[in-house]
Amino acid sequence: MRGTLAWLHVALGSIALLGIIAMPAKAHHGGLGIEGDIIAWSLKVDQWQQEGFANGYRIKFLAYPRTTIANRSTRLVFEVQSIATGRYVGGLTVEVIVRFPTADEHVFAAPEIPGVTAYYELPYTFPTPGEYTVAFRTQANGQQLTAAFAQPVLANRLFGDWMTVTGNGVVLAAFIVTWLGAVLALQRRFLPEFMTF
Amino acid sequence: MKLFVEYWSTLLHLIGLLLLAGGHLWLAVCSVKAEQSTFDYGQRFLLELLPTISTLFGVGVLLLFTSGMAKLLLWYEPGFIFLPLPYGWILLTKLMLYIAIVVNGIWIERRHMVRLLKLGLPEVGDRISAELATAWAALQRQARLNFVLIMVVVAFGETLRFAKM
Repeated sequence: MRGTLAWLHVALGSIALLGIIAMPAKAHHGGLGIEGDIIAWSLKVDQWQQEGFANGYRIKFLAYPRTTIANRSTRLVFEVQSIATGRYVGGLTVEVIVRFPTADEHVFAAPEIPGVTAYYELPYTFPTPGEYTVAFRTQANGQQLTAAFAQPVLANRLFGDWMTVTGNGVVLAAFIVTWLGAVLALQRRFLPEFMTF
Repeated sequence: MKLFVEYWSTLLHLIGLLLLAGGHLWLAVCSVKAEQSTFDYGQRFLLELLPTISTLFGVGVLLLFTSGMAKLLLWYEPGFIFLPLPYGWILLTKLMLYIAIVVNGIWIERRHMVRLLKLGLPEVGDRISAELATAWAALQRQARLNFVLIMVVVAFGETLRFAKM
């Protein structure tokens, strides 16, 4: 009887553990923003960062990495969806206009990602830090679709906006505290004569 | 390779949780049971076991930190923790609580553990001294505080699954 109860506990514990690890994924068109990306795979969340509306269509945008760094390649990804039908619109000829802080504009083609309907992608390296505008332009059913998205670009990954500084700062603090704790613990065990407090 | 690191960091995180959170849970339960018992065998047993328990907690903390860092590096985002999204705020809170837990742990080990080890256990049959009992009570108080903090962090960890990135 006791053995059966013990096994029952083990089974219930295993089920709970599996439940925690293997949560069902949230279904989304074609997976998530970045196909096969480890973040999407691990966290199963929608990654679209901004969206715009034009003539009955929703245009979604994400930059990856989310925090863009100057002189590093960034993936600019777009998705087009009809608001009325919910259908994703593929086969479009898309242009992306990158507007610099100096008001200069560069126009690029953003082809559809092969095998992923309605995802349009452009790898781009922002040359300098600053506030850029990434505009999406295409034609669907004879209508012009345009949407503009703000994209800040940082100088480096360690310092920049408050989010970067806070993120890096707290991770650094956690590292220092862990390191200090480990050193003090080893000192107490192996060098107790050097303990000053 | 990414999946390999992901798998191992998740596994090590779970083992770390078992050691730290599970260990604190058992310590809390056992110390209450020992308090309620008529004789002091339970207290003696726990006091004798304290250095081992402390080592296991330390290993748990290291596993949690290493596996957490491995995941952050694996996912790589400048700024690391995905601020200002809800996911980032929860992760920031988790990290700050983690720092509080480790600082509290250092305090427990440097102050209470050292004092308890200096006082030592009395011979079998002798009563536990008032000084030892006071030090032991102080250690339990702070260990329970850490237990509460750890449970809050675990709850935040579960919340992360549903937070929008």
